[in-house]
Amino acid sequence: MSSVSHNFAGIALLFNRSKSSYRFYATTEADIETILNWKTTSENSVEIPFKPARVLLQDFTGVPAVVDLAAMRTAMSELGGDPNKINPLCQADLVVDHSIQVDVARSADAKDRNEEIEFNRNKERFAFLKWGETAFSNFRIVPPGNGIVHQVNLEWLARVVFEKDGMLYPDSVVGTDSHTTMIDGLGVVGWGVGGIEAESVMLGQQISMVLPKVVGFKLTGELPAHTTATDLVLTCTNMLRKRGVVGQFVEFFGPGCANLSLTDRATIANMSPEYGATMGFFPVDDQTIQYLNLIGTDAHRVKMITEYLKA
Amino acid sequence: MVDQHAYANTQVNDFTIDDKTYKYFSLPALGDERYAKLPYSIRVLLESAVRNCDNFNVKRKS
Repeated sequence: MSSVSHNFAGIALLFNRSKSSYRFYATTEADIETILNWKTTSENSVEIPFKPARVLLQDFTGVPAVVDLAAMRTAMSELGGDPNKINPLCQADLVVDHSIQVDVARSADAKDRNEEIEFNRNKERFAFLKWGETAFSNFRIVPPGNGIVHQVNLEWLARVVFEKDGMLYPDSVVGTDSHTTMIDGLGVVGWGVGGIEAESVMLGQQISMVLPKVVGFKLTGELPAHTTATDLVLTCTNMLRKRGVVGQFVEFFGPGCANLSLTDRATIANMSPEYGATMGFFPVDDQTIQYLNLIGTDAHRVKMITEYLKA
Repeated sequence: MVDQHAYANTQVNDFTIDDKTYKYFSLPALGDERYAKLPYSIRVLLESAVRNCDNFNVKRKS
């Protein structure tokens, strides 16, 4: 329970800070000027506000966040208000993937038996999360047994272009896991943050971040036979570590990109924390669209994504 | 509180795909020549800032 009360103190701190300075609420025309002036301002560590489209949680870091929201509902009803008004302000998806343990191995039914033990062991938490999914709007749970959060994000949760009340905008995400960057391979801006930061985004706050430098990484040619994306990412990591890209965005470009499948790109993006970058970003191109078709994205959505990004 | 959005003039309201109509904030409509030179990832940050621009602390002069 200590982590919960700690979280609460953190949120209180955020509220206090925003009350005193208003900085956490506001995006101003001056901020937009700062971003437009990126060429100069990125050299000077200037802070800008950023509001991601959605938040991605896993069960270990997500449970405290849901507990906090539940506690706020209790507080709201104690104050005589409507507890149903307390909801995440942006879409939040929680993938249950961290609870599984290997109790049974080397037998054909190991997967089923491990999952059964997982369910019994975590009954209370899972029941709580299930409640959360029905009680809160903007909140979805991906049940256990569906795979790792990043793969689920790539195949199922990522919107590439987000739509809310008819408004279109680029998908972006912060996740409570450093390898959230895997989604950068799909042209979705995203990286890992701490639980407090993720929770504050769920509560409608903006992230304050330093406008980063961007390193362009030019790819040419194609991978020789018998080499894999792993070989490529280790080579890239080696080169980027020599250069030093901590706290910066890496953006891949050049004719070689077209020869990299989406899964190869996801591998390279996933490893951003290893080369120290905030992101390893592959802008959307034909390969991305091909992948969206491959995973069965609705044809209207694909068309909408394509046309929006061209516009 | 029905203040005009600071970038309302860049909003496109008649973006039609198949039979559905969408809206979005157009960054080229900012008419700023620096936009074309921004990396794609920075353009995403810019779009978010334009869409969420509320000028809150400017008005409040806190």
